[in-house]
Amino acid sequence: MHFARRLLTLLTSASLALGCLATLLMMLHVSADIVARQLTSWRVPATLETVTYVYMVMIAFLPLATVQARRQQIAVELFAELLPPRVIACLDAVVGLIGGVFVIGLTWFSTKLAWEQTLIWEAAPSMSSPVPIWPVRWMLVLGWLLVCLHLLLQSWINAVAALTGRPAAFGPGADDDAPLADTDQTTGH
Amino acid sequence: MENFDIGLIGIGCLFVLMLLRMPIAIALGLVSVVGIAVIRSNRAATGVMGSMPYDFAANWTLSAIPMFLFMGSVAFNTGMTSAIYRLFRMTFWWVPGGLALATNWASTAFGVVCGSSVAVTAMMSRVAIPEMLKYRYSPSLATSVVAASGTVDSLIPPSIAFIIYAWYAEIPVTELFMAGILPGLMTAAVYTVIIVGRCLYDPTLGPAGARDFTPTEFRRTAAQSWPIPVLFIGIFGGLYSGVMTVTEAAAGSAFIACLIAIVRGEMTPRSLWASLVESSLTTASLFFVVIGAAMFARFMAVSGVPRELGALIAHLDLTVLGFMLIVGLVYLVLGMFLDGIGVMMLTLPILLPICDAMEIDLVWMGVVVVKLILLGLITPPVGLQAFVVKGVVGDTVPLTTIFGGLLWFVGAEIVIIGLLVAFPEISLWLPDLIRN
Repeated sequence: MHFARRLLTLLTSASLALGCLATLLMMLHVSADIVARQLTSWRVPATLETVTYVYMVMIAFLPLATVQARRQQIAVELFAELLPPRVIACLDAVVGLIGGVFVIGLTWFSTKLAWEQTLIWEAAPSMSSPVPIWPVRWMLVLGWLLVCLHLLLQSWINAVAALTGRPAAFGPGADDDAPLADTDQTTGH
Repeated sequence: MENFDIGLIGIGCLFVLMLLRMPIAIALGLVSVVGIAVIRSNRAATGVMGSMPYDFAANWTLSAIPMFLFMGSVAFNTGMTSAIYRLFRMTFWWVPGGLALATNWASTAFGVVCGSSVAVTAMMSRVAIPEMLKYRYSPSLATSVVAASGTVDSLIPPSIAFIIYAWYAEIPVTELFMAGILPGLMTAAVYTVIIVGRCLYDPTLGPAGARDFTPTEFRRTAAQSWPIPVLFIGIFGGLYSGVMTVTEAAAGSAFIACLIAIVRGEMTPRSLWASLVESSLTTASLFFVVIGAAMFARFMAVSGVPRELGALIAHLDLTVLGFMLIVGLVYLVLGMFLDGIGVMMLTLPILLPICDAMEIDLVWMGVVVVKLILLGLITPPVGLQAFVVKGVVGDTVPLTTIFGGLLWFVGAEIVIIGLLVAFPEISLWLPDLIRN
């Protein structure tokens, strides 16, 4: 269990790093296109297609596992301060399980679509050469899969806490399955 | 069972799931998929699950969001914004409640580099509240001014809420950006009146400050504040000269922010990594909600709830003012319990078709909707801004004290929203200039 958990943390960190890389590349790619367009008549090839079909999907889905691992999904915390910790843990276990099952569905149907698109080497047409986008479909699958695993893991941890009043034996605590916990992140509005 | 009834049951289930602390994105998606499966077919529902997330993330218009968020993170993490606060602090030292005023206007100015109210509030809580408490400001005023003024940020472009609304309503975000400027400045001005008025009436709330800087220090601080105006010119110059799209302006200004940080010697690998992580995580959690909302919009459309409600409103023969009153009350109630973007994404699928039917200007509606969700951020019991401040100040100031101080600003917000509804010109004057 410890190995599985370490592997999950490693994959989550790696997918966050890929998401961050996509953010940086998007900025550089679009900025280079602006500068090239203003100074010369040349344009960086396939900027719109790469930003839309590649970078955006990577940024939207790859960091999602870290958001879930840190329990930073946008949620209503109305009753959090009113209920006893074990009741909250029980509630979170049930909700996490339902959410996990739903995300399994997202993973499954995204995988089916990714496989279909891989078979036809899906690519976005552009003015220069087509941009292959079938590999990005698999990044979406990776994002959902990791979110699903975190949801189920957290659900299990909460179930153990609800039943015994203690954290699960195989891990130091639910919140510690967050990788790269050096940044205090806040959601935007 | 009629489709309309299934739609209403779906809305009820959604509220229950959200109150059970299910992440809003998952609750929206789950209810929508089940609803579509019941109304249409399993095949339609699984089609939505497979294709919709990718289709909505792969979006050129929304790509401005991660870029603006990255620019804001770079500006904060490299200390670009601290000089502005010091400048306002020196400017208002002689005014009653001067530190509170400095906080108010610095938060407004930060709106230029950051589209997130929560991020501004978290940053200002760490900088401004300890200083105000040190100068014996009332804890209630010190904390509430930070929580309230942080919301102004979402009206000053670039605003993430405006980008999402504009994308959803299919209107030009440049017009919405323009429409937010006057209401944003008006809010900061009204807050100024409240702060100064209260401190004049009761000087113990915000004692007069002392001139603890030299003219040279003032000039040096003013000179250090150049990045914010430069970024402002970068964004607006690019957008309104017609040279760039919103995404290009966002990416370009993020690039300029990085260059400024490098020139000032403040860009370290650590600050770059922190900025990338912050913006990526915020983008991902926002997009998850937007994708959930897109599924919910599909569910609402197939259930016919917006159409039926539109017909009901038409049957009631409501005036625009009466309709806006209902909208305001609904947002006020929802905002008390739900997160701002969640409220917006939950209501837009129902609200916008009705606005279309009533021929209401969607730019004006956008300003009012964003203002209403900002009101929700400072109203108890789930006033997110108060919780952000509380998270920073810890046990030194009770939550009830923060909410107590916020009541003044809630009152001001209601007056401002009333003015925005009664005088659409406040929002539409600048966009009309562009249109013409």
